[in-house]
Amino acid sequence: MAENLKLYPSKPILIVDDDSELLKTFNATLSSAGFNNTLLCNDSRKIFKILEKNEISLIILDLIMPHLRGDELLEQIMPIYPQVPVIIVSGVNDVSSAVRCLNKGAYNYMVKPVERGAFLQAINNALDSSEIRNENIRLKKQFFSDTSIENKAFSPIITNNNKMKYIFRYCEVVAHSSQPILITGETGTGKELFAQAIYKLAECKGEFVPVNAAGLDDNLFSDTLFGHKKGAFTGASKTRRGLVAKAQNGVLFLDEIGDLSIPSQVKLLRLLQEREYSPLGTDLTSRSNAKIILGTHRDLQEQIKKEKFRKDLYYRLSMHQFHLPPLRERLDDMPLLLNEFLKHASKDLGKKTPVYHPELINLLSTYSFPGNIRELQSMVFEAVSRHKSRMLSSSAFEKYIGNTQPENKPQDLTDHNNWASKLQILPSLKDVTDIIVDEALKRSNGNQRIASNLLGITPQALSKRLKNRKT
Amino acid sequence: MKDSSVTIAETSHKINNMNHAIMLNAPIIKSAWNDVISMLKEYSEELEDFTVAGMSFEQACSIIPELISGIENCSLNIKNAVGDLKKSISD
Repeated sequence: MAENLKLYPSKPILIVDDDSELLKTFNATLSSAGFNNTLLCNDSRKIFKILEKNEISLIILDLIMPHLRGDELLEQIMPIYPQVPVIIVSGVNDVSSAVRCLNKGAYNYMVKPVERGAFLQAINNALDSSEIRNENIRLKKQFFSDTSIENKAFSPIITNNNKMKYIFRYCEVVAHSSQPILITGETGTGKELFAQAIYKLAECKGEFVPVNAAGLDDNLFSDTLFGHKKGAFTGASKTRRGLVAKAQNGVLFLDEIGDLSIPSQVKLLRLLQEREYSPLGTDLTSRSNAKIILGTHRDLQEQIKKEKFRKDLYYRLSMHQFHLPPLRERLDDMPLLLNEFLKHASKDLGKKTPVYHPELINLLSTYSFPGNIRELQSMVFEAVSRHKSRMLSSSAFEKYIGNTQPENKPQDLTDHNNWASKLQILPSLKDVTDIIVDEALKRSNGNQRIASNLLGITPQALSKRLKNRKT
Repeated sequence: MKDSSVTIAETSHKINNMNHAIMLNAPIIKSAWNDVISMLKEYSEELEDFTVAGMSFEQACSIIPELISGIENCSLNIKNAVGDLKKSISD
């Protein structure tokens, strides 16, 4: 089992100290805090050979050593390996020595004896800042590269939209990060598909474990995620592994975290920060190395204002996050999605893929799709199941949109903070009518039948209004 | 003969190195004890005359955490004492 454990950090931490006992101490401290990838060196002359052979994430360096002193080494390391942070841990408690080392490029200078908490904090800070720096470099490379994205990880995501392509590039950059990734976006925008894509990009050995946190109270959340020991509560007849344990070496995708209770948020924060959790009914601490991806359709900043989401948890999640655009903001994908869903629905229903009138795209583009891609998919399935002729009738779509649209209108218009209340001088009824008619025509790409549907009038009535306007 | 201030500086440096190991190792032992204690609790229920370092399990449960805290406190005291000593020679 142990040899299959994921190494953290992915590149080793090199510890250099001439005292072998202290090397053991450093190593034990790091191992007990979850840093299981270390290289130990008690002869400062060998450090360059180690650096040549291994890509190092961080160096912990003693100052006073025989043969080559730490500050001499620092001077030689920094020009060749400027991307590697170096923390000096020295018995020399002298300001000028600390200033000298920091001027030479050391990330931090700590005086022995160092307390565990301060030491681990310094390690985490150094690794985080180095990770951000490396990611920035990769992001720049990705965003300015002309190469098209042909990664198979994204093949289930149907898009040609530029915004979505940028998100693909971002995913490629953050997939290997040890930090959690937050995916926000309305329901049906494909958060889980993106989480799966990141899982494939990260090439994890373990499983992809999705969990929907909506509706889980704190006890159920703890039991689902962390598991329980036999006898932990009435009915716990046997020990149960939680989903965090199931996701070991893999990815845990926790969706709808905006709905989590505050006590569950505290437990989640501990899992993200310390990578630790305790199954119900035990004081034992278990360690997780699962990559954690989180999703929500809620605006977490708004939730913080309402005191429904913890600020510290939000800041922990804010390092890597991206927002998936709703379907109404990527209408250029509509033909692609429609064709794909028609193909799928026809296959499922054992029918020949129908053709459709180009006006159908215009009609669909007028709808706001609160349920996004998922809603379009079910709409298409429903239309294909009803269709009988060669040409797909748009009536099923019109009926659906007609039934759904009016629900949105009174909500917006009865709102006391609506757009009209913000106007200092009210326009005339005729001006408002003209504006709304023009907007409806714009949204329907000039199609008067669709525009009239949007306006809730007959096509004849719209035609008459337009004629009157001309005269 | 070495200047006494140099000797004090060198000795302080050695003490700091040794104390560094104590300061970092004590919390690991504390955490290890907390982890094994629940397993030992189950074991002690089955085996009544079970002892830890010659003490009854109940005694060990109260004494050992105190001993570990004592090591941590002593390490802090050594750190302060060395700091005071260094300060006295630099003044």
